[in-house]
Amino acid sequence: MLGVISMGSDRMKERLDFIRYYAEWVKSAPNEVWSKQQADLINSFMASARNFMLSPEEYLKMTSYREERIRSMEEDLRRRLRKYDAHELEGRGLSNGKA
Amino acid sequence: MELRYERGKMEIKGKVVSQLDEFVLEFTDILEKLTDYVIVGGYVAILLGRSRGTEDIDTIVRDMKAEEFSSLYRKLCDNGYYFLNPGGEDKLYRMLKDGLRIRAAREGTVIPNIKLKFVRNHLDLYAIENRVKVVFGGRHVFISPIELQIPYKLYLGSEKDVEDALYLWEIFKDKIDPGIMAGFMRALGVRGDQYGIR
Repeated sequence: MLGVISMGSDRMKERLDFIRYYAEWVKSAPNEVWSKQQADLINSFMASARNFMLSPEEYLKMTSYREERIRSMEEDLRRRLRKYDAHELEGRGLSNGKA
Repeated sequence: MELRYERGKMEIKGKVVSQLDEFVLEFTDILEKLTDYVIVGGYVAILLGRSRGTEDIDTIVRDMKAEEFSSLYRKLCDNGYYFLNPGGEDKLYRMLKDGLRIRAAREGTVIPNIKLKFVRNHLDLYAIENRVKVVFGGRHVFISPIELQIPYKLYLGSEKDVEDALYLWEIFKDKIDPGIMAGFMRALGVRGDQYGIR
């Protein structure tokens, strides 16, 4: 089955525990508070991005593997959804229109 | 997080707009004048509070005619954007028609960039026809329905994707339609039990 990563490692378990903890904090914090902290972090990433050293060509080359993987998964998805068109998706309004 | 969420619309009052939000808002302001779009992928979780960066913003647009894409291309270029992919508008349009993604960024930069693709399957179409308008700071963007976004992230399956899925689940588990999400889980052949996503 696609879409399942190993939960075996302590590192991944810690990551997911942190996500749960962080989400609880975001839910409890006023919008002005969580979004200010988040904006500070993201703005620092944006400042670093301005010094990004790769050319567009080099960047596209670097990301081509990931793009190819996503494209391959999309082809798998098209096949998977074709199978579901008749019985699963129809009644859910997922197959209205042309795709 | 104080979040007003009703079908098709969310409002996040008081959200501090980051430079990444601003980049997305400026681009989509141009895009939405010319076509329907929906943002999918990591930026959805970021917009809704996840604290991480991203290089690119995955965006789906309806299939366009060549002359419509030409208008978009010219409008973007006139407003200081360029396409990272080599070739002029004809080649870019052909890439989109072939199911490939093209990337646009501000002149003189590479990241962040917007990845554009045409609707390719029923899930893309569902995302665009059931997109959610997220209003903040008096402006808005359109994102994929959360009920689809969580299963799709699980389907992609990298650590980052699973973390995004879990984050969205934790934020929205009391607000989303479990029946719709379960349908997408089945269609995509994914399960979230081991991450506590049910």
